[in-house]
Amino acid sequence: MDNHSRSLGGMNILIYGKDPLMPMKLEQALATAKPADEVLIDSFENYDQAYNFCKDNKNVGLVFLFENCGEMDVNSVFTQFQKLNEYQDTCFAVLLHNGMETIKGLRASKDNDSIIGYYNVNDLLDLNKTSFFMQEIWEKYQTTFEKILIPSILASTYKTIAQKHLPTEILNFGERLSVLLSGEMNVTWKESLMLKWSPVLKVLKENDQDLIKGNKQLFGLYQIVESNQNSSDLKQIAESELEIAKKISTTVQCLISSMKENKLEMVLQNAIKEVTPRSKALLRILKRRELNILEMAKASDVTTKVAQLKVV
Amino acid sequence: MALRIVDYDPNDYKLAAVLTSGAGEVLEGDQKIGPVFSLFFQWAEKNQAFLRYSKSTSELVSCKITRDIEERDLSQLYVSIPLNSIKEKVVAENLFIRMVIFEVCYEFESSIIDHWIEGEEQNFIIDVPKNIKMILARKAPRSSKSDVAVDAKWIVGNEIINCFITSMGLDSCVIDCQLSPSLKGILQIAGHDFIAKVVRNWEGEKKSVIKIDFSSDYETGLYFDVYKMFRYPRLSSRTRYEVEDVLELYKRAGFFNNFSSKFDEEDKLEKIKTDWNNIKSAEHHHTADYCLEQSGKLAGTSSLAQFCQTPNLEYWVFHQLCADKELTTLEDTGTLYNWRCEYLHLRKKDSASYVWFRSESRWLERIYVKFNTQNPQLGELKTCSLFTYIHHASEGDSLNVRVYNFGDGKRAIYKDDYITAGAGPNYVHINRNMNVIICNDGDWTKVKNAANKICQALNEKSLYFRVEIDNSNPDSSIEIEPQNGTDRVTIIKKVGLLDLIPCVNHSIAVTKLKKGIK
Repeated sequence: MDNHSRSLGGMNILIYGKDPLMPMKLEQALATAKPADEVLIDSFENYDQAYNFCKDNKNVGLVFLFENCGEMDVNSVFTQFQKLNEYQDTCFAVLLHNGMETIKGLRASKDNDSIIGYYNVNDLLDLNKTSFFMQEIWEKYQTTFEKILIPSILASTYKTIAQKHLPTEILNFGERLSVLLSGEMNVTWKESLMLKWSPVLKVLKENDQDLIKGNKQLFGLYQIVESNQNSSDLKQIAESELEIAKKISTTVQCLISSMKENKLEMVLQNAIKEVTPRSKALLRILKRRELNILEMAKASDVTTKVAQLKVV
Repeated sequence: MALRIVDYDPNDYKLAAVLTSGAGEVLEGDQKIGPVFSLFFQWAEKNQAFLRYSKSTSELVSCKITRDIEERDLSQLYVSIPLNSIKEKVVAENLFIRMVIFEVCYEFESSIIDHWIEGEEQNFIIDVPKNIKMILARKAPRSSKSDVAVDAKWIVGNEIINCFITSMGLDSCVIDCQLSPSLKGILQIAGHDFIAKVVRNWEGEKKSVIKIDFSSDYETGLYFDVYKMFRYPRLSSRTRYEVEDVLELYKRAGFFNNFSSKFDEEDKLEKIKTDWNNIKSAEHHHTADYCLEQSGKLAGTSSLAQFCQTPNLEYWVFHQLCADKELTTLEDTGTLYNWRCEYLHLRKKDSASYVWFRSESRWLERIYVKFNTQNPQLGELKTCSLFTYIHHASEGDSLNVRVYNFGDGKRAIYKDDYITAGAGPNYVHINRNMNVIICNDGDWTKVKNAANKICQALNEKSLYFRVEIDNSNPDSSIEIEPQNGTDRVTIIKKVGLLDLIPCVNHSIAVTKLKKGIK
């Protein structure tokens, strides 16, 4: 799981189960592995307390559910919690057993796509392993979410259509650049996902808006990174009042435009020549990553040409 | 490589482990330094930072340390100080920074990358340090209050020096006169003579540190009464209050409704008054009860009581904490918890502290699970089954029961391999919960046997007991009342008591953030 301070984006994590002490032990194990987000993790042994927590917060995105969760079956309990989330599609569960998988547990996780894993709680409580398993769960979480948001067939359709309006090498460069900058800047997981897709979505929105408007959730999420600023001045972007994710998407668009005009190196060097320790984070990162960015531009070009040759 | 604010390492994952590092320990590498900065930036209101611009200067200037919140990794630190806070112009290449987080202190040296003046502030950008030195694990810091100075006398032979205590720690204090190091004498505080020794002075300053050599546990209690004026200024001994007023506080806070049992006695309040008057003289011997005031009103109270003892170990219980929600904050509740840790830490004898609590309070559960996760060697935390019952005495002996004075009352204790028990005076705890039997093998016969011995020793026909036992099926002849299905017990070793304080404070900080309390 990403450990920087905004990675969860304010999403709450709920732990619920009837095994005495275990929910809080898990809460503290997760808090130890991910201290910046301890305030977002809550555990309960009492169903009413857990239910009220979901009701009051409305943004529980991940539920760690012990198999021993009272008289109701795990799917029913999870459904109760899930439906209290404002965005039900972003609430998933991890089912926990006490060392022995059960048929009931296996069946529950098979029957419900929102249950993204079935784990031994002792593995998560082992502080040597907690971070590893949390990372695994977090990757599953994001992959599941991305698949629900943009199923693979839709993903290739979007990319194919976008390629009609913008050369593949530029789209590839935009995606890689977004991923690179997201990895260095303090963005949430949702912003990070949307930034990865932003070069494609921007092209679609400008040319085939109806196509993505139909996917309301995706269209809604895209707003968190979409920027209408079309600046060619990276310094101005970095120093603007834009939110972090929007700064990144604007920067990517700026560099995509300069790549189209074969001015990438020049634009980049102009921006970073006066970068000092007092400069904004984005500029310092561009300076630090200048070579990577230029190499990425070349690699995108080469990859595309190889792909085109293969097609020929 | 940039430093990630919070990172993990499979071999050293415990963020809070940095809080328990020993004095002088050097933390190296991102995985150890990361948690220090993570805690520092997470809890802005709990941190302090100071700057020195040269190793040779002792001048510490309060500074502000921030980071660029737009970057995911920590690549540099921003330090600022008021423009005229350093007398000389800083021309150094490095800065020495001291950071205090949850009362734990770290120092590091770092190179200055950039330096400028803007408005009324002097600003520095410095590198993230490669290592941080734990300069002092000030788990029991000396506290000073600008409005508190306690009269004292320093006595050596016939010479008496009148002085003021300006700050106090758990076993030492600072007085406002210069004395020779190693000088032994008597420090008279609040009318009591403490054997003491000068351990430090400062050249040219009217200031000496005096270390107290306590001669008894009672003396540690008397010292704590003064110490709390600095550390917990709103705390006062319960003996200062009318019993009725304290009982009114318990009623107001709903304590009786939540915890009273079906075995309640009709004349309970009268009996509580009698027992509390009787145990006033047990203060600092077997009990400690303090109250918290807010704007002149009684707002909270909490207690400690010794429920059993062996020649080498005292068994204490943290009990009857209550706080008026209208008048107290979470920090006040923290005070009502924390004084007990320091009080028991100060005592000379080794101790084991018992806390029984209910898991519905997620706040308490968080404190003790956090403590246990971070310090498994310092105590034990487990689920338990608690029962209350009235034991009606039958014929039998009181062999191996020890009866001793508990203030003006009597207490009987019994201990063997399976049972740790004590009873009397009944209302040390307002629901008689200091009449305790802990049975570690689930055998109710042993519980009844111990209860009977205690009844015989105290010459009582019947006694109320709280029983901790892992067996919910006693024989049908015992009328019991299960107290709660979600009870916990935590036992804290004396060596761990001060480590509980950062856990309480951290849990308060987390809970406040969770609930959006400023």
